[in-house]
Amino acid sequence: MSSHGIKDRVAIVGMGCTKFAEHWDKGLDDLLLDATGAAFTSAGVTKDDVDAYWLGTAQSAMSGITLARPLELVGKPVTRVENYCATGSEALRQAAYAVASGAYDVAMAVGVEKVKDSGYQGLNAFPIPNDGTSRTLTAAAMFSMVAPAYANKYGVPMDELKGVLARIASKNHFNGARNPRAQFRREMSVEQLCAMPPVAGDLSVFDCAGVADGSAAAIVVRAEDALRYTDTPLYIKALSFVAGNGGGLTDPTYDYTTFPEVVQSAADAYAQAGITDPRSQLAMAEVHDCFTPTELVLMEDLGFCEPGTAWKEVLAGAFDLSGDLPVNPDGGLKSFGHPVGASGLRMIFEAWLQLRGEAPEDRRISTFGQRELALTHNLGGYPGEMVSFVGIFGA
Amino acid sequence: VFAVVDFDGGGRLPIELTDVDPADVAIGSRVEMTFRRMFTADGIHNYFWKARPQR
Repeated sequence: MSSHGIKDRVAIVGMGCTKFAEHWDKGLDDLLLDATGAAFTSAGVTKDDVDAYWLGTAQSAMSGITLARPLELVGKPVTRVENYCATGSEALRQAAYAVASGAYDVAMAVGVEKVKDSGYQGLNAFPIPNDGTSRTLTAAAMFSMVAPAYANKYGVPMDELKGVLARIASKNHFNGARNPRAQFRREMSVEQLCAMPPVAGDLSVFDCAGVADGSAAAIVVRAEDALRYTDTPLYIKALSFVAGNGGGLTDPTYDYTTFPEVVQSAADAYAQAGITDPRSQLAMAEVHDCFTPTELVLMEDLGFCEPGTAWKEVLAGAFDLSGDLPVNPDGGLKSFGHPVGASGLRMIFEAWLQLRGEAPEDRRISTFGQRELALTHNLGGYPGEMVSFVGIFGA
Repeated sequence: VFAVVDFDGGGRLPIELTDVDPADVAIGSRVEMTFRRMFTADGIHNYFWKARPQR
């Protein structure tokens, strides 16, 4: 038994991504048509050239018909995928494996979420019948517990840690302000952010990802066919996925300052891609900053720095656009917004733009031209029970 | 207020606190279990465990 990966066997040859926003004037079909249309154009193909489709949506619809209907697909397989907030990455993973297996020549992964006009303000998972004893916390409340746990373990005064979390949000707002597809395009200072009232634990609204509608799509082919579609494909170096067993919720040794599922999926991805020192080998990372403490812990769990040191690295600007390892150059979930099914593919879209030199100059990563690997990290669930995806892509 | 509660002798349960001032809760506070009404719908009550500061 081993996780072999499919390094350099599959390439992304076209991508599309809508603006993430409160799209009051667009329905699910419009978002799907916009993202897939841009991806078809990008790869120079039509919907008929694509042999199979994977559609990721967490809660906006069910079944492959959700995509087949607006695209008017005839005789095509469409698989609907759901894996919490890592849904978009999971769709890409399935499409890539299908091509790697030889089953199809061309496959598309699409992610979408339409939450506005659903009758709810924000995310609301399908209510699955239960015995009424399950927790009723918001995601913000669950992740808020990371902050005091981290402060306590590493002896960082809570006031100082709040400044660190604000620094993370401020960085992501800075990047998002330079991204026309981002939901929130206003820079926010650390001082402004620290003055926000708390909504869950020590977190304010500005520590939370934006709730948005949006869609993103990618077209994958065998690596040897890639240059028939584009001169600048993005090669898949690693795709890893770990579903936790929920043990952290009942295990007294779990301390809420790390996400074991992320550590495990990162180790698998680095082994697949042959990466030994991510901090110096990666050109950039898109990580799942659903809440600011999440991004803090991810810097350690993804191996960018030692446990207990991420807060100092954040303050030193290591993960800024101009830092030595830019993180979330597109603004992240915080500023770009988080349409659950689309976010994983949105992260890959940023790698697609940055590594191929298509990101605008005012948002270009400091490592451009020096390093050629990008990491995307996408998680779903909560501290103690989560799923984690790590992908590595290279120009 | 929501807390991750560890039990003497082993075991953990993430659970709601009740009868408590949020300002008095800190990591390490001792609590005890209490069986409480959680939800009521259509006249039907749903009971489960909560925790409160140890008396």
